[in-house]
Amino acid sequence: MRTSIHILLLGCLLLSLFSCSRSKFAALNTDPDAVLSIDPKTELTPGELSMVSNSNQVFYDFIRNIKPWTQVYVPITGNIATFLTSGGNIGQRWGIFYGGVGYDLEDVLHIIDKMPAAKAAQYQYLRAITLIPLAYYAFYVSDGFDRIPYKQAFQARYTNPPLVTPVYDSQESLFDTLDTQLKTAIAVLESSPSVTQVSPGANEVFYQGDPTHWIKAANSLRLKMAMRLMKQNPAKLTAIAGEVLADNVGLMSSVADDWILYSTTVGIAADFNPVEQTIYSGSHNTVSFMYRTADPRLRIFYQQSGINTQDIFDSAKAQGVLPDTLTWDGQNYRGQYASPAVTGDPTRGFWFQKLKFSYKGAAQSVSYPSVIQPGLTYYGYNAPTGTNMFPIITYADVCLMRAELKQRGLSNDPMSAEQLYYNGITASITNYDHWGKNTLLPDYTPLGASEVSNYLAQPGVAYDPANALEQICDQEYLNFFVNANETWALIKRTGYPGTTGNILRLEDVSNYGLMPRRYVINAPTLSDLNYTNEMNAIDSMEAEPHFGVPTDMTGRVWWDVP
Amino acid sequence: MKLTVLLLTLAIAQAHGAGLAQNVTISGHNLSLKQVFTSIKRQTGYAFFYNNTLLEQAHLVTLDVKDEPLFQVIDRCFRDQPLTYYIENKTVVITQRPPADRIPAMPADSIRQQPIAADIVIKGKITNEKGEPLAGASVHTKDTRFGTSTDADGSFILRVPAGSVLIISSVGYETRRITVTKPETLVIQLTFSNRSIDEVVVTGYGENRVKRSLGYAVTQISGDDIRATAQVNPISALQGMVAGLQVQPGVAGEASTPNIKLRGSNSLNAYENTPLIVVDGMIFDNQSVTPNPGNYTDYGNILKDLNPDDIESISVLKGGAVTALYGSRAANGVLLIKTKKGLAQKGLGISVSQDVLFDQAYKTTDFQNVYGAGLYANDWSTLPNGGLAINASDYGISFGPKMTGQTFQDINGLTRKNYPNTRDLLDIYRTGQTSNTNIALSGGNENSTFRMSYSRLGSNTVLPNNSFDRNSFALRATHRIGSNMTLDGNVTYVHSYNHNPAQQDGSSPMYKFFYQGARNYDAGYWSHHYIDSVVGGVNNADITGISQTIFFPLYQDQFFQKENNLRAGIDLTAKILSWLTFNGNASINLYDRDQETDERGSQPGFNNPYYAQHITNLLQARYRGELAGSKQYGDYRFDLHIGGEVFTSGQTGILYYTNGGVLPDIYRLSNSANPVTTVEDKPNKSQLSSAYFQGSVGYKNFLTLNIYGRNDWNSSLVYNDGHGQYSYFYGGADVAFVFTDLFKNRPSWLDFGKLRLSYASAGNGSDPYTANTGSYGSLGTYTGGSSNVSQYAYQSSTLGNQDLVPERSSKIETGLEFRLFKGRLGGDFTFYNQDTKNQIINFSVPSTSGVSAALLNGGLVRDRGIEVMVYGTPVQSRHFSWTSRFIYYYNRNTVVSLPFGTNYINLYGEDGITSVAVRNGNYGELVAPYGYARYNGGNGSPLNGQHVLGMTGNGTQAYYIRAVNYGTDPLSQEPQIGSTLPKFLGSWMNTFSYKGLSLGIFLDARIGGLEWSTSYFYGSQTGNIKSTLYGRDAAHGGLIYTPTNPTSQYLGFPLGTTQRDDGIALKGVFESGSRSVGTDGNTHDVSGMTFDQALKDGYVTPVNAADYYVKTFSWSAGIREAGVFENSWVALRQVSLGYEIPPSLIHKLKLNNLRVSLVGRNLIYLYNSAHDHINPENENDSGSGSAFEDGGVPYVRSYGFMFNTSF
Repeated sequence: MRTSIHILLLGCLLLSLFSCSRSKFAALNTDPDAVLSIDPKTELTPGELSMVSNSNQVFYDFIRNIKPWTQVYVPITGNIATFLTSGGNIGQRWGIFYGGVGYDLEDVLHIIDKMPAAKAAQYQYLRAITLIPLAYYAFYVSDGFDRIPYKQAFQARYTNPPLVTPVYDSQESLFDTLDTQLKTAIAVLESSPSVTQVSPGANEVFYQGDPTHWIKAANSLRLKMAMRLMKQNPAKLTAIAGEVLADNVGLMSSVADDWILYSTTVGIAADFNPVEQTIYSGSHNTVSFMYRTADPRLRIFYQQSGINTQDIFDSAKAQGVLPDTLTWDGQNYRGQYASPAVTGDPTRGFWFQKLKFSYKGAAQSVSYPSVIQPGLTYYGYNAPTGTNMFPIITYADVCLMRAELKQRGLSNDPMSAEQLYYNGITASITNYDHWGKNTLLPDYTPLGASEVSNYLAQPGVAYDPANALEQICDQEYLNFFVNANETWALIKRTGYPGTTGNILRLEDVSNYGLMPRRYVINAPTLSDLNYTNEMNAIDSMEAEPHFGVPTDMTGRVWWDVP
Repeated sequence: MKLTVLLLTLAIAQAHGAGLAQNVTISGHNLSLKQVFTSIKRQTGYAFFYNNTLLEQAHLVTLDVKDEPLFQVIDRCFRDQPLTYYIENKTVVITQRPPADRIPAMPADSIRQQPIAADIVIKGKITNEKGEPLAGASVHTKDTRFGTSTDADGSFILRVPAGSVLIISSVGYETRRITVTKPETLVIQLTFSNRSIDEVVVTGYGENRVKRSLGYAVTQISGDDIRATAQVNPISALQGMVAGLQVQPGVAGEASTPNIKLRGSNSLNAYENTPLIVVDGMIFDNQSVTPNPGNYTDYGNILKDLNPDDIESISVLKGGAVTALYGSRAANGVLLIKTKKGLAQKGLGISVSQDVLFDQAYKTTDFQNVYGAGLYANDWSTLPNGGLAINASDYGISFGPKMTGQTFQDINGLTRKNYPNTRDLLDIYRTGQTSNTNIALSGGNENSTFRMSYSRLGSNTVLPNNSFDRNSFALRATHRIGSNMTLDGNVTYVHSYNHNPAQQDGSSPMYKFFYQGARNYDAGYWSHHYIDSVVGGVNNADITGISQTIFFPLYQDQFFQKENNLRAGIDLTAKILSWLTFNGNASINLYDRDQETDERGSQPGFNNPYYAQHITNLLQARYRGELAGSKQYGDYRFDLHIGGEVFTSGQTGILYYTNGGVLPDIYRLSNSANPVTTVEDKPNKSQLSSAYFQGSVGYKNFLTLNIYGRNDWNSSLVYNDGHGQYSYFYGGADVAFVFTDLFKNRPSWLDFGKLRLSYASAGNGSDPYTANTGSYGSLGTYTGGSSNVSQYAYQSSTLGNQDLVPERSSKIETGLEFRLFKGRLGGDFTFYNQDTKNQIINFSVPSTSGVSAALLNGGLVRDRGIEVMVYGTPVQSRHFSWTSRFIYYYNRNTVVSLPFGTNYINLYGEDGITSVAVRNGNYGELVAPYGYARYNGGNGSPLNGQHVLGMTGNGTQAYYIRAVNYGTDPLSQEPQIGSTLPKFLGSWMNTFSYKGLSLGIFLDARIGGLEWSTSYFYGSQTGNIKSTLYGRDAAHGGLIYTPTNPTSQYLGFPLGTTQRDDGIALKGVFESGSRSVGTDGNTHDVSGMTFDQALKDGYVTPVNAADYYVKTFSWSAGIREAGVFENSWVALRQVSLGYEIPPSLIHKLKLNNLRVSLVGRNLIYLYNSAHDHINPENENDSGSGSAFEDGGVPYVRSYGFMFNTSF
């Protein structure tokens, strides 16, 4: 009995050890990783990196869809008949913006705005810088989706009751909002505050917080956005072009000003691998044009054809894998035909098949067209010491934009269209040479001393006033090889390269449908709290003259006027 | 292995001395029953189970017996007592003697140990209704001159005069009479008597309670029934066994995560509806019984670390009263597992069992074997020599040329004949093998008992490279200190290893063969040539990607999880006063998981391998102290338990992985090309402190009122500044009323009847840290730039909530139990209703707001259902008996309200089709914006509700329109298709016994509820699934037509202008504005016309089969609803044939028993409503939204033998 009572007492004592006071429970229930306040620059980093680090966007949007639609890539086995209507998992930029870029950058602004005035004054440059990538990405999302929430977006954390039903902004008003936002940022960065500004340093991954570079980037972005208004509001485009040309700091003026991320870690996910599942070739017409004009970028873009010497050609032909009628033309780079119709052409079957033969005793299994250089955009092929690059806007882009505007008579640029055009091509070749080297492409050959001048003299490349606009646009197309959205926007905006030009033609694939021009806009589901605003936005977009059926990707966003 | 040898040696050494003493010697005057019991227990190992108040009613006995059979002595002790007893597993359970004891007590003194004269020898085995041996049953002649009792295995041998009438009786069972005229071996099955409702079940804190006093439903399944299924996971074994319990084993092999739901789903969080699992007082909550949230590599949760060989019983406690006992965690009911104990006996009891099972993948979903790769009849590419080759751009779709043996060049460059590969997929699978060996030793004396066991299970499933191994060690010991205190301790250690479990979706072979493999895809070739033999890495020549996504990972990658699970507990019971007992209990559960991924580099040279490891360490502990008092005043009996409990939980974990690889085939962090990524898991600490009481008042043993109350203090509801509503009280009450005891003259056919009524409520908290949502966290260092920088962002995209209150659930249940016709027929009916409100949920909000979810309290989910169990013995004869048990279970799961007035909350979904909870509607309803649009032609149109059709721009081809593109309001844009939940579940178990043989046949059924199948949908798009033969040619029902456009409108292949026979008529009504080119070449307005009518009028042409299938079932334009079908099935779940070796032979072998059985599991579906024989039990997810098949696995059946013996 006595023992029992001891046990009982001991049991009660043990239980009493486990107190359940509020303070103990509060400590238990606090996540040790939680940080209650942060330095805003540390949130700028993930915001900026999100712009380029999403591998789903690279895989689904760029590799699988936009590049084939714009004939930058063609699957080595040819396009299937539905290649213009698939579009699975695309439109990743929406989630990247609302769950990443905007999610982080808006909070950077919020943190600074909540600081005591004296402290906030030290962060005005950082705040202004933050506005620029934020504006870029909102513009980029709208480029594919038309109306998006922006003015009222991201407010749930900062409003009470939480604003969880943001209204959508029209693309026109969004462009105005963003242009104003960029002007504000430029004004702040061009001012000389009395308070010493805190620099984000390496936390700002593009320019390490350098205000001058950011002013140039912001001006260049204003110009890029204004270019989209070319048909809806050319006067506004001219006005903005005039403003940025007249700005004290102005536009990018050398490749050192490029808005680009160089990274040794972004781009390592397997989805960045452009030949991970489907092997891609360049398009037949583009590769032929580049081959014909001795473009130094050819070897940066593509690998050589599997049949790249006469000896190999003869051997393959002798073994019956190439038609008897085919003769060696000396071409060691070839693109694949983009039209699905060609895949069924009995005379060109060998373009689409793996060619298996024996060469000098070794079994060969090669393709007739050139495979792209996967290492140019994917770390897996340049590991472990290569560097990936993710251009947002480059000096080359700016030169070619200015050339196009001047050529169209939409700007009073002090430089000639011809000079701007040559500067743009030179900057583009310089960039690709640099990138080819840094991404450790196999058999990388440095740019020869006279290669650029030789190229600029080639027929089709040499400035020809009669075809100048097309030439400028075609060079923009080549320059945008690694920038799928801009390739897409270029074709939508200018129609170049098209199927009827004099310089570089794309193949006519119209039997298989039209090139998609925007993303599918799905009606919200019933579980969506913002149903009303989303439906209103869809109704308004449907009222735009060229928007079409919301779920039809061949419809157009507001700026995309036929 | 060494240990096995040691144990075996021990076993053999002890075998001679083994054997249970059946005779006892006791003498003394005026002995208390307790003294007698103590003595018997010491001599025989039989334990006694009784309530002290009961024993107080007993009078003293005087005995003078020498070496007399145990059961005679016990019978003698109970003569003229107000008590009676029955035996269960070597435990003598003392209960109140019924008013009119209908079991005739034998005049024990007239029984002789040895017969004087005998003519014949009768051998026999006595079993209960389930075929389990009945120990201690009495067998004697009518004149009581000759008699014996059965041994522990239910066997007896008796020599009697020919023509004797044997009376076979056992307390709690109906007595049987059998006349014997010649020597024979009998198998006698006794049925429960009307009194057998004094059945004892394990309830609440593992205590045994007489079932008649419980006011809520409980079903107890014996360990033997679990083992008979030969399942790795004892919970998966419960499939179909319990009304109200829905168990769906996972698809990733034997060790995978089962989907378990008890009485439907209460929570709007689809993964928090699993019942609480309690093993000897140890709580397994959702941190160890983790869900499989769809399409992840499913290594299974802690349930696979429970060794079925050590399980004594599993009690399924469904009612609300359990919630009050176990607290909020038990909102979904409790599966209470009790493990085996040792027994006091002479020498060691050793039991050995061995199971060997073979698994066979015997069937896949149906493929068509007529058409090969391509879009149209002559879709070939031409070789330079004019030969045929696969048109690579149209590969992976099987609407191409018929496979008639043409010579062609395949995608691998080899030339072969064009024939279908009918067995390629099955050929990838192998014969699986499972071997399970168990050795258990038990022993003990009056004061101490122990049982130790070792089990080894090794399993290779049908999937290549998938294996599961488990080593389990268990020790349980009890010890009595003095006369008032008992200690009961146990330690279990389990090590398991699960290697390459089957994967789903894009990694499932069946899914890939449907989605990307053409029907003349040479799987036999590629399964051996998936590696590029020249440069290494994956062979990219396989343009289907199957080498890349299936063969290479299947044969080259290693995914495995090692687990170490240590469970230990100690339980102390001390009697303080004669009516007051203290019970203290401490237990811990340490669960370590080490998950490793070694992905071989698929790039040339096997470059860029990937290595990851995720190590987690869960420690949960529970401490409980309780005072229990029990008093009887006249006809009233009072019980009260008051106690406190503390439950603590914490988990550490670390995940690290390489980023790029330096060298191939090295799976170490040192091989990472870029800095290694390391992620530290949250410690997830929590504490739940509780105080509770449980009391009952019984009147004359037929009316019992139980009341419960509990207060929890839950750390998960406390904010970091200390505020928060974290203390909550809840309680309940139930009544059990044995109404048959009231009848003075009960009709002879009515044995027993009981009514139950129960109400209970519960509160609940949330997960650790949830309350404190809204702070920042580190994203780690960014190392890709010129210098390394730290990064921070919000930890979660969920908006926090500073005002959370506890969840609340309330349950009401009523039931009827009865037994008729002397136990030949019995049943249990239950009706219940349970409501759960104030649910703490992450409510999705549009991400454009800056958060993706908001933490809310809200919603009300209701479950209402009926459970029916009917059992009986339709045939009972001398050598043969047939017992049968039928279960029916109906549950209606609805949603009464949702927060924010929203209509749907997502439970699980794939693109364009989702299982949701509908406000004022079903929980688990399928909705689909990409479903069929429903025609709305205005008020009263007879066509309303039909599918809507559209017309291509040039008016030459009709197609189905998606709801989202036609609907005018939310409900028509995302229409409800139907419920995914079954209308009802049922099972039918039959046991046929003939002498020593018993045959069990177990049918299991699910009727109703929808399923979405990815392999059906995409298999239809690609024309690989069999049902897509329909309409492809006249022989398969294709319509004759002449195309109005020479090119197909969706795929763009040439249709020609001549007559074709591959037309398919759609079913539906054209939307307004539809204009179609008719056979006359003119354009007609077909708005509002049905397709049938327009076809009849010549306004439309049928759709060519390839376009029809590819478009209707495409990802981008397809109708998801077309991939939905009813998921009803009747399965022949198990057939087993057991043979108990006759006792005479057993004894010659010096064994106690020897049983061999053959078992076949998952043998065949007698009925399956799924299209194309899709495996209906292949759902990919263990949550409440589960209704999605993502490839699954082929049909697998298992068969083998089981052998067990003891000596």
